[in-house]
Amino acid sequence: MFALSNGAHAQGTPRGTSDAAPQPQPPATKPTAPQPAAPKVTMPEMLKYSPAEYPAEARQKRIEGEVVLKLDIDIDGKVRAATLEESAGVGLGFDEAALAAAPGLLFEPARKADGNPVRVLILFKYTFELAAVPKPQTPEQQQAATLGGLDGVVSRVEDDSPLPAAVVKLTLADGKVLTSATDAQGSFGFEHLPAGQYTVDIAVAGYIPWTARETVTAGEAITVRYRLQRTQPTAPGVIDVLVEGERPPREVVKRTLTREEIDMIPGTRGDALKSLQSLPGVARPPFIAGLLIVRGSAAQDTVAFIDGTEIPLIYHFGGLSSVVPTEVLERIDFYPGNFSAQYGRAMGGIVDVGLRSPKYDGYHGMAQLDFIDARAMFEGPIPTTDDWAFLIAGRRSWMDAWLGPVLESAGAGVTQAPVYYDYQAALEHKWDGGKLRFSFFGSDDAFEIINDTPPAGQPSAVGSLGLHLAYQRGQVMYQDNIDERQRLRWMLAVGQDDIDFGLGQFFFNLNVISVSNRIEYSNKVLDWMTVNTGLDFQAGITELQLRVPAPPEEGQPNGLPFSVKPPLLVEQLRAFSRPAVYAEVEMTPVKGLRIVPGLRLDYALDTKKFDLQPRLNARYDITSEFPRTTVKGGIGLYSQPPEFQESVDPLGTIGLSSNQAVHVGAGVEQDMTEQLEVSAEFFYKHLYSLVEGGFLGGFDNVGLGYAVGGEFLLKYKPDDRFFGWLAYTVSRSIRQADEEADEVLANFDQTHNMTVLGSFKLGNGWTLGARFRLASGSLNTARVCDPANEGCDPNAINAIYYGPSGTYSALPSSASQQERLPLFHQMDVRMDKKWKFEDWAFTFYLDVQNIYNNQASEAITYNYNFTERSYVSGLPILPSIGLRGQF
Amino acid sequence: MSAATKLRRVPKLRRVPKLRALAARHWRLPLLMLLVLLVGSALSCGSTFDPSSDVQTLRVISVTAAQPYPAVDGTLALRLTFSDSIKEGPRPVQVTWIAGCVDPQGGSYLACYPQLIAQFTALATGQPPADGSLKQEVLEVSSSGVVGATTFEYDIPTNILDSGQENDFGVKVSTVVTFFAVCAGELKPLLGEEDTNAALPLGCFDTDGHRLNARDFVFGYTQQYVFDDNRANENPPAGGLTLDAVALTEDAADNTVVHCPESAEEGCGPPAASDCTSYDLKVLVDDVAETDPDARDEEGNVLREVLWVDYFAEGGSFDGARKLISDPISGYTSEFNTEWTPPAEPGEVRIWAVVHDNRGGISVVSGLVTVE
Repeated sequence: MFALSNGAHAQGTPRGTSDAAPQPQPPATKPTAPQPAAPKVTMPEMLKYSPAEYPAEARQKRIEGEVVLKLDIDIDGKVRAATLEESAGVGLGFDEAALAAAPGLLFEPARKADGNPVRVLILFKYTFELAAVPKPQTPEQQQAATLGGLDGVVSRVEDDSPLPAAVVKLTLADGKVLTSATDAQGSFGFEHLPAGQYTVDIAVAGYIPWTARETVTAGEAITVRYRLQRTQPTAPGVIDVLVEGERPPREVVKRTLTREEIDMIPGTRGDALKSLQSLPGVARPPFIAGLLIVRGSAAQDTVAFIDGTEIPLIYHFGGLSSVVPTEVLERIDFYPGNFSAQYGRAMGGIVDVGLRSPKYDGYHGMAQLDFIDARAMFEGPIPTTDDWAFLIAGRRSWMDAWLGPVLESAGAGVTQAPVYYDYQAALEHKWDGGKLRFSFFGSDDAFEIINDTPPAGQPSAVGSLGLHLAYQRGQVMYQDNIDERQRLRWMLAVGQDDIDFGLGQFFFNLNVISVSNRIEYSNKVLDWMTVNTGLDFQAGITELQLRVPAPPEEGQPNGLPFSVKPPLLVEQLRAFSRPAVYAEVEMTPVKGLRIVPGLRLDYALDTKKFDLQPRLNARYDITSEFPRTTVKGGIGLYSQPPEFQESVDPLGTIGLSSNQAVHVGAGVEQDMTEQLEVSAEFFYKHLYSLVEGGFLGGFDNVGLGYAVGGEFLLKYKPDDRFFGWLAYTVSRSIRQADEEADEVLANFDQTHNMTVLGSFKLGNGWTLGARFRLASGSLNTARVCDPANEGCDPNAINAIYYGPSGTYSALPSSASQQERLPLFHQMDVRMDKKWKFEDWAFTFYLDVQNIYNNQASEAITYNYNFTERSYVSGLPILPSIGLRGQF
Repeated sequence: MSAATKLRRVPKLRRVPKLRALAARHWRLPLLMLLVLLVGSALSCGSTFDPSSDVQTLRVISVTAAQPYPAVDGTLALRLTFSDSIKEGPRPVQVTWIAGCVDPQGGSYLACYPQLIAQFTALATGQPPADGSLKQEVLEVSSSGVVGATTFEYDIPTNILDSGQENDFGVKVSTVVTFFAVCAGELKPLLGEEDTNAALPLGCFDTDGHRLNARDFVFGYTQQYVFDDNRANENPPAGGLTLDAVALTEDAADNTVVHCPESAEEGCGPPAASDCTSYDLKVLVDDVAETDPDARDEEGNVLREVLWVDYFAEGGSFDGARKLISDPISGYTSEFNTEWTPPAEPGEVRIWAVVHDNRGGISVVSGLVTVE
């Protein structure tokens, strides 16, 4: 965001000194780098003016002048540095006087939408004017002296050309609003204004709105000049919860959601990460599984990070909640494809979540409680310091306290509920241009039932049935803007993953201790070229203990219930290492064009294979002015090494290579109106060298496939009353076990997926939102055909009886994954009421998922001999009432 | 890379692929889906399917081999217990046995289909195989429910081990697959009607030529193993059934129970009707699990078989129809009894208990109850 206020040419008696004084100008702000379409940043406000001394020679010669300085204002509002932006041009000491006075200025710091202070650069003008010789006033002049005026020009920041049709709103202290609009020359004006403080709001389509405060003095006419910055074009594949603004996008598609939007999306319980599932390109996961199925890829092909450190899961059990609460998020970068070379080891998408900085300006806290979980957060500066701050947050589900009795009274078979918790802690030190942060975060999900009665068909599956997924990460992150052209980022993390599953005598325990290290050095070698180079290293030790039903020996019948098979114990301790290096060049050779070629080299110690992955992304603003039109595209190679159990002894096959994917994407973005924008992206993923498990042999890189589709987003950007969007994805995802095999639809293929959502501000703190989803049903291999389908033989025998076990086995089907479950549709509604108090706010909300209780079909079950079938229904209506207080 | 791997059971490449296939599935998704299914089952009362233990159609109760591990020069002797429990009463059923498929490719019964079709075609042309590998008979209605109502014998080929493979412990072993069909009509080939690579090659037709469904037709197979070391596996001895500690017999008058006026559903909470009386049903099995020389624990000790029992009845419901008798970890348990709630309709009800071990050994016992 960039805006320059050039106002306050005092026409009467100069302020400051008795006869001449430089005039303070309301600050204009320019963040250190262009920001994408962003939540409005509150600009610095001057608290203390520091007058410049009028040069004696100039005063003597009665010469006036203007000096524009660039001020570097830190998060405390102090002027860290002042440089000359525009000289007075006449010598005589104007420049020197302004530079000498600037360090004495003090501001209320600029703040982001969440209230965090932010360091900014602003332009500030000292105007040196001499006092006019007072003349006797006429009676008319004496009357006019009780009123003032304000006029000015609105122009574009990039070339200072006039900006017509901008709406200028002037709000008086009593709330009265005057409105005007700029003419073809960008000019506007207000006359006969009572003296006092005014708020000026400038808005024009395609430009970031600007707000300024002006003081009108009786008898004076103020002339101001506002320069507005064009809304940044979005870049592919990224969603920022809070926009950092320091890093230009390197990717092809970017969609920005503000946190205010995410808080109001129905059906997510205000969970930012869950909002990902409402975006184009993300398929609805089956049942309530918290999976991200991106552009036709399997869930495990999309990797999640927290500040560059990989985490094993992004959603708690059942997808009810993400593992990082929204309150501690700085940003969510979501790349559905064609992601930067800084990311690798994934063929699907990337989710990189950034924890935000603690607040330095005082102590803040938040507590929230709803039916599902309770959470709290506290943060603030470390006492006696002004550049250290901390944040601590935690969340725990409490469904187990009430769901069990409810299920028991309903006569359900399982009366236990999963328990999850997560936590985040950070200690941060900030300095001019950089920060050092120590973080510790993790998540734990556990579910256990004591099963006295074995499930049908599994006589030996008695005892404890438990599932436990947990991870912890300790992370050090260092960022430093070495100078205006160089930047260094470093992240080191150590962590532990625990994955435990037990059923009776069988168990699966995996413990992974890992180290990950990322270093990236950026250098703006030319004004139009920035080079990013980095190291991305992962290593660790895995300890696996596995007691599973042994594969049948000769003499042991196949087809027995797994619980009656002899146990097989496997213990394995193994080290792994997967280093990578990358380089990427961000080029803007001409206005509106950004080209980002990149190269990444991965190595996997377990496969002893290198993967060289060239990538190229580009975007071009055909029209930079409103209505903006942008085209974009990308192509690249993406490698994903095999899972460890596929590539190492004793379970895997030695000599495997990585899975490979070629991502091709292209799209267009178009502003329709000031609030409405539309985008369309098309993708094609060619998949090859996929690891497939052979029926009789081991694994081999023989799998093939592709995913193709289009994503469309019609978005109404937030205004005073409404925001919402319509997202639609059409796609097809195909796999082949090998070249000779038939093409089959991939497990998570979802032809159509549409989400419509909107949120209305009803006033007086009330907000009402709704989300409607419509998606193709999941694919199934139906063991019993649907009698309603043409060609279904109700007399068909679908299973064969197996004597040694006394059970039926479904006959092999030649129609794998060929039956779609019925169309999925669901409506979620959310109502918020917020009360604001002087120092804190309180919110009550009601979030109802599946409000009309659609019994969505999520799977098919069969009777014992596969003569009957029945749909398994998904979640019923799920209301959640929440309370939230924050200060 | 450093690696330290302990595989307690001796691994052989032949076996590993199956384990690979098990491990190939990414852990996150299956675990999540398992949890999802658990939660799903918690939120619903399950399906309304009739349980397998409720015998109301033409059903095969058990197929028992006299010797689950027949000797190289021995005879494969099979006994089949079935029940035709449709409301209209038992019908004459045609039972067909087709044996002789040895060591099919990949160990899959599907690889036996070509041989099966050839044998059956020969029967249809009046030239059944001379080696006794095919037998067809029609059983009278009185056979329904009777333990071992029909038998079949087949001489094990003397060269059966020629195509066998060594197991993990160096013992050569072969398998013989035997198909059976129980049809309340006439068995006919389905050639040309379906893809016989995967679907059934035979169908059951009524006198009008209409194809019958699973209510009137059971097609299955059993599988026995022949070891080079001539090892044996005895069927787990079952000493009969007791109902509230009283032995069940073939005389229904010996045991009389009170009917349940309202139906009691299995597996989804207790029966709604408070007037129903449930009875303790138990099969008599001692601690008879044999050692399985091919099953070892973490320390290499030989493990015992797993034993379990499946209860069946022509009416009523069980509070758990499959019960564990013994497993290698927890050993023998005496709590393999179940609660049986009689049906709403008075009459004679047959109850079966089929005791399995995990090496193909099976015993079946049965008795009648009068429901008043």
